[in-house]
Amino acid sequence: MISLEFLKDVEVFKGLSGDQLTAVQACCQKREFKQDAKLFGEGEPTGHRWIVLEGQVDLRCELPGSVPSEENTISSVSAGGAIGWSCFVSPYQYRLSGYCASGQCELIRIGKERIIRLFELDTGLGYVVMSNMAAVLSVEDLIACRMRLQGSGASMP
Amino acid sequence: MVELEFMKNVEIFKGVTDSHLAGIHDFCTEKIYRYAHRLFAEGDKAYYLWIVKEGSVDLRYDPPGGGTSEKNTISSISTQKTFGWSNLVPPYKYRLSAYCANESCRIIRIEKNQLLKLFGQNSKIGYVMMSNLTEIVGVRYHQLQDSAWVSPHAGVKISVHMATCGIAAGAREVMNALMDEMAKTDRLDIRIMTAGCIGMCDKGPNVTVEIEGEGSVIYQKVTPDKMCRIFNNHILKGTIETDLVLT
Repeated sequence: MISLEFLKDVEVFKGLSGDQLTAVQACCQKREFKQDAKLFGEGEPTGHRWIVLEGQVDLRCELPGSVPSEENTISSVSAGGAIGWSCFVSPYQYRLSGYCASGQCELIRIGKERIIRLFELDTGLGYVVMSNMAAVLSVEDLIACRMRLQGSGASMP
Repeated sequence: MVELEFMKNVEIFKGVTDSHLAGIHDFCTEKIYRYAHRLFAEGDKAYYLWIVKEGSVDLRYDPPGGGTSEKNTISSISTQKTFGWSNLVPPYKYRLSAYCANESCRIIRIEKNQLLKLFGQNSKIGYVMMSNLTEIVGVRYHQLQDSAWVSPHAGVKISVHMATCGIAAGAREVMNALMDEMAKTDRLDIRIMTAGCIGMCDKGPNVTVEIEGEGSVIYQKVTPDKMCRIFNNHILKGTIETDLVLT
């Protein structure tokens, strides 16, 4: 069982009441992975959202023909971090591959269909979680904006 | 005059019922802007959500201290599309500047406070619209990511550790400062990453700098000002900021 104490500190669940966190808790499954295990692959359908409980997950860009390695790591996610917002965004496929990068990783897996049902039953909960997710995504979006300018060689003073 | 029929086809209202849409319609005002007029600037308080009715709007990153230029356009927003979403997410400040990109643009503005009040009264509308917003931001993020894919073999890697503990300590502000510094350089061999917690939560926010052939340096208790120092001295000049290194 995932503790409510842990869930309340997860960024996308901030602001939920005790009862709402208990409802989210019921959608959570704990999964363990050994070092180098692949959690999901780039391009696969996104059926789940993941939250790291322990250890570190590397998100890697699978270059065609190359062997997956740390060199291809785009970002690393550790305890409390969430992965898989693509499950709410068309075309609902993972954009990167996820690998267990520490001796052992323990993750929470939340089924997309189940959590959406919960959002529809309790739209107040859905509103809070989606607002938090939009806030997290908007930061990522900003980073991508700046990187795009850098990559495009736009004029900078 | 904002027509209800037009609003039904706007992406952020997908799934909102006609009766709820009629309620939102009351908060909408329509304005016309001329070419190159700035609708809002990066950093301004975000009072409105905006929808393009006619014409197109360029969203630009105007670097600090610099003027605007079409080269700095991040994306162009066309009819029925929404922009200025920052009014719905903290810290409620616009992250980019918006300019009318046609001879004239017809734009719908929706007041943020009225929208948030409505969401508070009716969470179903809030849930539907925030779900749509997540999808809109996510799709744009995917597009930007595709066009900005940076080589994973860059000679310099800067990782901002943005786990929950890092964010609570100010890692987001550090990332923003780093991005501002990046915007001022034309170096293409620098790759910025987000990374997880390194287990030293009381010494966060942490930033790791890895320069090819030189090993890695972890900095502790980084603030936006310290990030600027690290970038300008360590990354650009090769001098490690020893007093900021994690001990």
